[in-house]
Amino acid sequence: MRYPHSAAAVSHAFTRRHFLAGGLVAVAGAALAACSSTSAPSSSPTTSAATSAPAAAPTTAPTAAPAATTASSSAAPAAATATTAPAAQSAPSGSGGAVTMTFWNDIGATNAKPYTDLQSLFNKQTGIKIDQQVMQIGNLNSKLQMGAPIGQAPDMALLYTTAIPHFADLGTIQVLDPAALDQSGIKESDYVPATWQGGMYKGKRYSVTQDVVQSALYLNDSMFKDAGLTGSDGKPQAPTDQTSWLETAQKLTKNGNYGGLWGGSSDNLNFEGLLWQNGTNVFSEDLSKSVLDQPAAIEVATFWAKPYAQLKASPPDGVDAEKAFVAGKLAMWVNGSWNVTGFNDSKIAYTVAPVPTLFKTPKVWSLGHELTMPMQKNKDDAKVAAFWKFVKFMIDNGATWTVQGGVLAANNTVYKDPQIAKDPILKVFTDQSKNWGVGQSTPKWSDAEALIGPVIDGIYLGKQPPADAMKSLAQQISAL
Amino acid sequence: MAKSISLPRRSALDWKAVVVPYLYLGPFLVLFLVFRVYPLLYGLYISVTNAQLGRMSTAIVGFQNYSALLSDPRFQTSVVNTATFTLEATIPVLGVPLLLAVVLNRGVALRTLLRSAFFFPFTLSVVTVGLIWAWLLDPLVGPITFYLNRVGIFPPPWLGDTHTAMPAIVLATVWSVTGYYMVIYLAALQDIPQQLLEAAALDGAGGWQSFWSVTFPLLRPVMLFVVIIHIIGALQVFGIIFVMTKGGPADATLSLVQYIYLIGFQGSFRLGPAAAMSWVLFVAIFVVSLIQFRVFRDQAEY
Repeated sequence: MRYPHSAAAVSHAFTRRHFLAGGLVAVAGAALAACSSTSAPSSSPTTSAATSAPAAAPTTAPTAAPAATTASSSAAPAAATATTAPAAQSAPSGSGGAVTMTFWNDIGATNAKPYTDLQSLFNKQTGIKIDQQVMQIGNLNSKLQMGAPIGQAPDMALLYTTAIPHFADLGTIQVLDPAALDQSGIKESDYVPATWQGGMYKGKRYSVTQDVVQSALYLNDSMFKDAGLTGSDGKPQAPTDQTSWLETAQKLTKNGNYGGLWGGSSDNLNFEGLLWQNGTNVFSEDLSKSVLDQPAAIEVATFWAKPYAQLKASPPDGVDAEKAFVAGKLAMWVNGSWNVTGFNDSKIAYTVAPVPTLFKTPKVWSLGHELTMPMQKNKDDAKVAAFWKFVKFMIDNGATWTVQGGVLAANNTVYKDPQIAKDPILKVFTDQSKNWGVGQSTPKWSDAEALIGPVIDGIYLGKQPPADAMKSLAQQISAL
Repeated sequence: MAKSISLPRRSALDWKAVVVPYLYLGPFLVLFLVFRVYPLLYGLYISVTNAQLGRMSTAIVGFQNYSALLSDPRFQTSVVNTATFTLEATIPVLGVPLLLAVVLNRGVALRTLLRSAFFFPFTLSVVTVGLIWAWLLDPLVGPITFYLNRVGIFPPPWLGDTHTAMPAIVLATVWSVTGYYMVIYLAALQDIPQQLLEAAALDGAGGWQSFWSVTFPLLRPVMLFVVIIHIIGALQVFGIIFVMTKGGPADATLSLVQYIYLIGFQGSFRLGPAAAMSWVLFVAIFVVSLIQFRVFRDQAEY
């Protein structure tokens, strides 16, 4: 009797051998895929850099669009009528063909288009193509740190000023030739000293500052008006010193609303700004140890505990300050210039004022975007020349970048541009430039900032006595 | 005389019966070795070096990374926080899902709908759960605070107070996982032989006595599974804390895994200390699991 299934039919059934063979093929395929080289950076932007990177400075997206001439106006600047004509650029010398520069940066969100437009213009003028990848700064830092030693770094990278010492120390970024800097026409006299020094580490230059973000004081117009704290022009009366800051904050704290917030409970950036105002810093001048246990820093920490823990004039931890300001729950907020974009989009009536001087000197926290050349396996003179051309292009088009991108150019010659000089928000930013402070030039800066946040949070909440907390913090930072 | 049985000689083809099963396991074993065992051992090596992302050469530093942890206040804080979270999140998980399972097992109305409703939070991602609760507990715009204020109760800023931040995170976690463990308990309850419960009832055992003397002992293996799985997960808590508080306020909710992340993947990307902390966590989880196996090893048998 023949069974229904013939021998031929059985041989076509799925047997254990077939399963085994299929499994081995799948494993081999996975192993081959894992061993394949990584792809080159793509030409299209990947992710935008609109969100914050924890523990890395700055803590929020460093973009701003000072489009409003007054807080209630949403008129955008005349994007097509930049008064500074883009300077003509020549093609890089010695190049046998078109040069393509890979470029990593975190210019995303509303600034992405103006920045890409400038790159297109640069390409049109010089024939040099910019192949950019946009990503969050945390990802950029880690990718750069991993990629440079194995020859996978981009030709250009836009880093933050406080990251320069770290990457310079690791050998991730190149020293810039002083002769090339001179030849490019970039002059120290065109920069604020704090910004000019931002690209320096141990006496060598590693970057040129492209643009700068900074702190400013934001005032909720309607809350000030309701509290009767407006001047004859109807504008909010901005506090200018510690006494007026605390008094104004207390007057505005009512009906479940909060008067003022200096950065945030754990905002190490604006805490640093206060350290500089009081003539001190995180590290000693020789960077050998932390001086946060000294009286000047303790005085700042003592102030930090006042607004919430003592006066309840600031919101508690966990409140989204930006949303609270827009919702009319927070009357005053000292924070970064990148908030202007969001406030304009929300159509809230607000005023931008200079950061009050709570201590001895009118210092303002700032942070630069630095154009750098990461280390490469082989030197390419054409790409080095292209780098300097891009640096010069961004400087020459600083007014356009400021007006369209909303980020203040580092080169202060553009501040006289009428479009910038007449914009009330940009005027606040440019007037503050002479008071900019930046982080100290040490590779330990980022790690120190990561330690500062939780400690000042505890001081803000009244959980830790300022003096004890700062002494402990100084020990931890000195041990880095 | 008993007839002796002679075993057939093993033929050359019989070796396949021994080798082939391992060949079937091979793909998994390769992946397990490559993606689990190798990183584990390499991490052990890194933990005794000064490895830093981007630094091509590393030097052996012995146990320096481990000894530095003893004087690192943030590491100590993160360990305490992680232990606190594990304890506070495990106790409700032992009882609440079991209670819900017992109730559902009794055949209540809308049982299927209720089972789905309780399980639904588990289908949400950690980020979604964290964002939902962060908004619910927002001190300015959150509905919980808003409606409590309306009845004259003024709660603290849940996620902004060092005393309430961790309990808030525990609440969000328990809400998220209760449904999952409830389903496991429900399956175990339905697996209990009805004859045992009937026998207990015939002997005069009431509801509670029947549960404690019959049901509960038979659930011990399942409870062991639930506790072990939950504790292993709780000791590695990261996502929900990162979304809700980022370790604040003032490091009150900083977990060990989050601190490992901050040290190894932020700032200076110091892989050596991060690997050392990872191994400390691994050993802790291993020891805790061993202890649990020993405590729960006696199984009820009828």
